[in-house]
Amino acid sequence: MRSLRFLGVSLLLSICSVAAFAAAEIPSWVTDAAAEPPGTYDPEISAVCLLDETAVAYTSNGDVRTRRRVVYRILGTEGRELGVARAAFGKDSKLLSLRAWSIPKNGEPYAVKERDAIETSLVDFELYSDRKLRLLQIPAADPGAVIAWEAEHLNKVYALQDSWHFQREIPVVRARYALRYPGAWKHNVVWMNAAPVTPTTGPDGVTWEVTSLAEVKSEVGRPAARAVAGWMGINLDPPAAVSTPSLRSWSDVGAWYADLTSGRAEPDDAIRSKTADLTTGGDVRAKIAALSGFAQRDIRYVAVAIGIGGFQPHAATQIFRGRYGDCKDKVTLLASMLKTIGVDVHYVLVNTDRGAVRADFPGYDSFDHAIAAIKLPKEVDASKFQAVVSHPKHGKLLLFDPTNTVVPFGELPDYLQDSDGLLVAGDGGDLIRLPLAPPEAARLTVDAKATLDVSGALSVEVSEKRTGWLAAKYRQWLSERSTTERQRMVEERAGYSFSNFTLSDLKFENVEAIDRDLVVSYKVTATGYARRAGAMFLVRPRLMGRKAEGLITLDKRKYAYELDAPSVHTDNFTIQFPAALAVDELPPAQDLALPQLRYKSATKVEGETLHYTREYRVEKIDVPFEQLKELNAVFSKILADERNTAVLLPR
Amino acid sequence: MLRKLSICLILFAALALPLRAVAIQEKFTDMTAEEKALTSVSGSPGAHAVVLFWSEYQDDIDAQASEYFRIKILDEEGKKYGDIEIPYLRGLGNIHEIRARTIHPDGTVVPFDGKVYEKTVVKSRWLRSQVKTFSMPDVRPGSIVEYRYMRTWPSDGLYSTRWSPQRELPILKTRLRLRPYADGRVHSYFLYAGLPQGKEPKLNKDHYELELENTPAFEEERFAPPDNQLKPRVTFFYTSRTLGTSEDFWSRTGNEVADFVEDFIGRDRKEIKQALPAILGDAATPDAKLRKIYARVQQIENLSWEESKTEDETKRQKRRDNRHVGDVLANGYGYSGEINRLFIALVRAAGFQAVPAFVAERDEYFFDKEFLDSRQLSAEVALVTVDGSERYFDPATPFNPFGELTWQSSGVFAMRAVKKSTTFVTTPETDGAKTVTTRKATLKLEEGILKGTVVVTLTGHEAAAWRLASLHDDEAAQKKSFEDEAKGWFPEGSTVKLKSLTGMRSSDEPLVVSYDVELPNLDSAAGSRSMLRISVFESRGQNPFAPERRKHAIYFDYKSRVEDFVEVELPADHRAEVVPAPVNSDLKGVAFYSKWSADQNKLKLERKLVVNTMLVSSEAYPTLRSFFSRVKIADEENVVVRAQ
Repeated sequence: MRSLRFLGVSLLLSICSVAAFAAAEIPSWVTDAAAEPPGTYDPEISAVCLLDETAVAYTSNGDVRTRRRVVYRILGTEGRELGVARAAFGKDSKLLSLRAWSIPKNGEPYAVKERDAIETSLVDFELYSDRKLRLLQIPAADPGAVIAWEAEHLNKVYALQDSWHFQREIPVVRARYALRYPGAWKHNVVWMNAAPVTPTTGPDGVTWEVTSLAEVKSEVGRPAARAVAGWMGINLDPPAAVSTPSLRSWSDVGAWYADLTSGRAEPDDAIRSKTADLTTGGDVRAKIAALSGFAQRDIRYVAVAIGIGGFQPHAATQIFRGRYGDCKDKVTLLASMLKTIGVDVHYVLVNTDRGAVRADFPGYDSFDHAIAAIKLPKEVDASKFQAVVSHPKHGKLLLFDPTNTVVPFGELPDYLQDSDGLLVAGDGGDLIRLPLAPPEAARLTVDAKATLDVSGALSVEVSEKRTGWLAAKYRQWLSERSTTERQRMVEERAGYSFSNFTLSDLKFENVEAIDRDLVVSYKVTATGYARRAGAMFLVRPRLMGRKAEGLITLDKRKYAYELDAPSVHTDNFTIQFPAALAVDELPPAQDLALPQLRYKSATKVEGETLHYTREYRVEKIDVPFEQLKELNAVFSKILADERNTAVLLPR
Repeated sequence: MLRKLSICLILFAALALPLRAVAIQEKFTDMTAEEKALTSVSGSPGAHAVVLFWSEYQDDIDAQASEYFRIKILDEEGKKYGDIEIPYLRGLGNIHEIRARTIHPDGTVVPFDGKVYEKTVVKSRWLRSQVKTFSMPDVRPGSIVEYRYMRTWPSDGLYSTRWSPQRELPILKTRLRLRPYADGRVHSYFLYAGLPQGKEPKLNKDHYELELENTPAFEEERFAPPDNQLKPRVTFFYTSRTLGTSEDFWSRTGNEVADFVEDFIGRDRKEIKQALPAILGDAATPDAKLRKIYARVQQIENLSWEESKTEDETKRQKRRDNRHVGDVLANGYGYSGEINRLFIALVRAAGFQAVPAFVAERDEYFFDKEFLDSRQLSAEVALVTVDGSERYFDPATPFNPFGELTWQSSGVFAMRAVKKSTTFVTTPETDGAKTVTTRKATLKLEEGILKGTVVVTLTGHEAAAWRLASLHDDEAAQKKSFEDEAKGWFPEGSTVKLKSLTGMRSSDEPLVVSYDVELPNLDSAAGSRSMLRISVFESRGQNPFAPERRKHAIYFDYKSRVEDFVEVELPADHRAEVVPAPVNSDLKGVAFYSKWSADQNKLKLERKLVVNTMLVSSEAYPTLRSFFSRVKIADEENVVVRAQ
């Protein structure tokens, strides 16, 4: 008879999370770091990094052996989450060893063996990636304990370049970077967000050490970590060319990427045929738009990244056959199709975290996304597009992100505007600034006509019209939801403005037509909108909507703030009230301004109608830290304006 | 609901075959005119894709199964369903013969000839959980993607099967078939719940079949019964014995559990007798004695609630297994069941009658007596006879108050596990008056900001929830949690500093938190007047039932009430011109009371929200929604203030 097996997956997973007993020999680098005096930290700090050491040794063929050693002191219970050693590896990054140790507050130390590790695929947005993660659970990672891990890798690198990120979300007592390379090589370094330190040279090569680094905490609206935390970029320079390239300039990085993508955009007959189908009739502009739309909408986003495949696109022919690919694949296919009609396309490497690309360090790992730069033929009027840059060598380039399926041709997603990208063109490249669209390019116009009755009940017809990135964001939101979910979400949003209400006649126009205005309309009937206070009727002229971003907690804040991308929000609200009432008092008008934004509102009465109008304009994204108090003050005044009421009395 | 299988002939045929027979597989078919015309699904409006047909044929004799999916893509968003993932446990099975294709509305077929990737979910010494993944070619709105594959597993074992017929996408047609293994010595059963009326697995020659039509996509809603309870479930399993009728099953389960538990408790254990006097001390009354025992037992280190430890740590602790209640007492540690049994042993030694009770907790499922799975009885408590009536005790939940049950264990079925006289009882519901959140604010208006102190007192299930959630947190983490909670009540830009926190490590005292606060953005202007909202605890409050449509019943985990008291001192020359009228709304199941008052430059608000029900039918939703709308209106009321 077959045995009965009732296997619970949760049980198996819990078994996997244990580590076997091993003799505890603690390396001296751990005990030395653990001897560090406890220090004084804010009670919210739950752990401190006593040592974060990276040793990097290049061989003459460009392979790199790395060893990372990390020692933490756990200060609070939230620091327990550091009690797992993690090491990523993959086809081009062989994990040689992963070990961990723990010195509990009380009791004997532990050593953890690698055989107790578990592995998991390191995939985020990809369908598949060869990157995996090996994890070791560290025993007794409780407050008071010192824990440590060490990982050694043998890497095949794609360029003779590295970046050392020494400042973290917890304080770092000591961080060290040791560099070894063949004798005749040279190095140069660039420091970001930190003062340079002088290295020492010894048998282990060149070593940089930084100490007493403050934590870089997560803050709402904070610029990207790469833009604020301390790091060092390192370039290696062999006297003669080796198989792995050196990247001394952005042009070198561009050339490296041009080499990686060389030949990938070659069309075959199938691509030519499809291109011909899509470009029958119409002028060049229409043809470019049609092919861009195909890459954007008909090529499904699917990422498969194996080894250099994280950087290198698949061949256009393969992408076209499967009708899927990732960002660089989409650009490649678009380049292939446009090539058949004589239009050049260049890759532009970008980072979706604004500020992550640093002009002073041409790093090939600065990017996480690829878009297209379409060289506009002379007969195309470039002024019709927002996302155009004029390049001294390559002329008018229209930037287009085929991965984003809701941003119209000619525009850029908000998260890419006003950031740097690497234009890969010819046999080199250079950094370009991605244009910031003017506020008028993204509008939200809300028109609402309301009628109030003597009971205080309100009925209102609302029309919301969105353009630009505001439309794109809302389209994205809508596209992910079913009809029921859309209705529910709009009702929940209305719940912020009305209490006892019914929402009806909800309509969405042009959800799929991304080059047209997105219009949402609905009706609301709400009882108790006007509040009785003795003889007074209190009516809020601002019927709905909120303009101020969240108030920023300034206590312990360290960094600047990034507003949403430029936009113009306009509200035109009217409330017709019963003839039996007359306006006694109106809320004051507001006119608030900062270099980055402006807010104006006014309430007027004409006959038996209250008119509330306002405009909120965001002109710039970045708000320096020194201005945050003023920004909060403006946000507070906007919130107050939104709460303000008109007083009506019986005639 | 229960059907015993009686198939045993197939075994011999299966064993005689050197190779596995090919299981029944669905054939790929062209797009029908009806499928082509399909653009939406009634019952799931706005669905991005729909499963036209899901078929599974599982053959436990040949240890293989074929599975087939046919999915119509309805819009752009639905294209993501062209990415396929098939999970399996390596070593305990494999996936073969993956075939897939995309069919366009014009009849064009694009066969899948791409690569199937192997993704590691978890790989360890004990387990290798994998996923086979691939992407369908040329997926567009209007396309149908169809794929099938074979799943095999070692033929030396019998495994239970679980089907979840309701999924993220609506399913127009489901056909699940299972050919069971039988050799005369194993028995197999289907357990199912939540299937549409009249639907159940039916025997058809050598296999069972379950066919369903038009299963809508599952909809999540706030304040709904547990998802697992709302979704249909079908389980098939093998056992070495017969289950019998529902009565037989539970009676036998009761007997077995009673045997096991009583064996652990033992009779007149000397360790228990010896320990009892010191535990009881000078306690004279039954209540006092029980309290002493309860307090002592709660001191036992509860291994069921400890932080997860590595095997290395566990070995280092050199803990021996508890063989009986004497060991639990001597070792000072135990799992929840063991601690409960120690309580019973001590209580019996003190002269009380006490029996173990196994409770069907209601946080994941509601108990179904016809669903013959003893795992429904997920918690163990004690029933003690005091002054002639039985009282429930749960000493094995950390900080659980004396004589109370957790919310999960209250108002549910429980099995009194007594040898040969097992009975089902219903545990008492906790009185809502015992779970009270009292929030008191004493504030002063200074330059548009309300400044002062807030004291929050929590009792009952609310306090218990905080204590358990923070069981392993240190002071800093607890402080952050409570501050974050309070910031969620107050207006944006508020400053909230926790001053003191008491009662976190107690079971009977209330949990008391006090804060210093500064609350901006509660006043507004209206010409010469200003409006001040003093319902400060609800300044961000929303009607949890804003959507008009409701699918599921409304479910509150437990009865509770919130009582707010706010005192505001205005500047000396300010007076309230108008205070809002009081609100009093009582639907019995829920009630709300709010009253404002003013005296010179002092304002007061008393507010009470009572939830005195746990389950409200979806038909009563409009009434409930309207009630909470009125609460929101009241919470948004302003006091009209004017300078004199």
